[in-house]
Amino acid sequence: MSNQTKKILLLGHFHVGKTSLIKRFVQNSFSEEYITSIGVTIEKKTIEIKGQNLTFIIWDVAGEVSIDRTPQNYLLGCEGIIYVFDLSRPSTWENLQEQYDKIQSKFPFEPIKIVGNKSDLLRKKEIEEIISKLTLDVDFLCSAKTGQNVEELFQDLGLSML
Amino acid sequence: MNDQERLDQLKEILLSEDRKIQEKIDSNIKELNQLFSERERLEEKVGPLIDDHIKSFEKDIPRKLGPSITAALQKQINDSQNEVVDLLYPIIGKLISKFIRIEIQHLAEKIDDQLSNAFSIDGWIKRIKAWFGGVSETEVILRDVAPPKLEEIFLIESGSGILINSYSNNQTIDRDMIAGMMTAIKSFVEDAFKGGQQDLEVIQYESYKIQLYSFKSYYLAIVISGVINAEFLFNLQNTVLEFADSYKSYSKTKKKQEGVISEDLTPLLKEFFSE
Repeated sequence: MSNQTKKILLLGHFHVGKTSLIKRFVQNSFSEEYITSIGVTIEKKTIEIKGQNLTFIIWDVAGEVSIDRTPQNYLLGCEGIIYVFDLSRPSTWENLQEQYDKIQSKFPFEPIKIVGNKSDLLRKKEIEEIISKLTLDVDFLCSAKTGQNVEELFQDLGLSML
Repeated sequence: MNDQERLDQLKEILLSEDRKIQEKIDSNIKELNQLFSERERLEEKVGPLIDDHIKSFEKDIPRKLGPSITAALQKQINDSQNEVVDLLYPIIGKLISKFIRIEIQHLAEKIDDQLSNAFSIDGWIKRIKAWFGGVSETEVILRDVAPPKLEEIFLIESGSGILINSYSNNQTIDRDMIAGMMTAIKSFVEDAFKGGQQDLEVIQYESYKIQLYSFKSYYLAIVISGVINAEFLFNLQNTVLEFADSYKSYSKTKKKQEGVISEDLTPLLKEFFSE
């Protein structure tokens, strides 16, 4: 079985749940307490995809309203991106298209997954309304709190990276 | 017998028993008064009882009063942290100063040993080494007291921070995480201070130094303990450059699959950096 190691990055506004998604994926835990990420923290998890061991080196970058404000050196060598927004906070998805275009211009060949987090806070109808307003497709609706679609998100990203 | 005599006789019959009791009580009171007024006799009687109570009190005090005392102390410490620090500081300060004094004494003893051997063959060898190495004799002596030691080597992909390989004699925490965090620190410093195309070269913590040697697609992070001098760094830099040359050839011959940690790189790192 071959082993591969890939650096991935989670981007998005502050307080959208990037760290919580990582915690749910790596440690299968969740905390209601909100602690702002400062700088960057690194997490690691190995999963098996199609008979291969894929190790994610996950860079959890402090939330910023725009990718322009993220230290550009943090983006180097990244092979997959998860852009997270908070379904319950319009300010985090109102500029989604603009942010996506900026990320894609920097990473034209790498997979970018768009994720709406905190799906547990809204009813199905409200979520549908939000999605109808967006100009691009949302890849996953997740909840770090319940664990909904978290494993699936990373599996799908891994599959796109192989 | 007249009436008076009869009355007296009757009194005698009725009160004789009470008189005896009265006399006994008087005698007991007198005895007690004597007991209380004579300390030694009182101690003899009461002493064992008090001893028993004290023993039982001592035995029960942690169980009965422990939680209350702990809670009270915690509250007191929380309420007056500054005062507690003021009180403890001189004691802790003295302990630290004592510890440092012992360590300096230990170092001085080692240096004394080195100096006492100054005129031995070893001493002359050191002196000649210092002359030829262009370093002071003190540096040579210090290096002998705490010689520099390569603890770990990390070969890390630039930018991504992915660990290509590492070599170490110790079991440290996850090396992938170390490589990632080291790259994050390096990226942050190089990004934050806008120093142009400059690289972070050293990270230092206490007696450990991490020397960073950056190349185009990768960098080497070398963890060193002990006293590092210019000669050691010069030799290390030469070794790093020789390694870089070999690694270039290695990369050409072995078509490295992207993102794959090359297990067979370990002998190459070992060849260059094992002592």
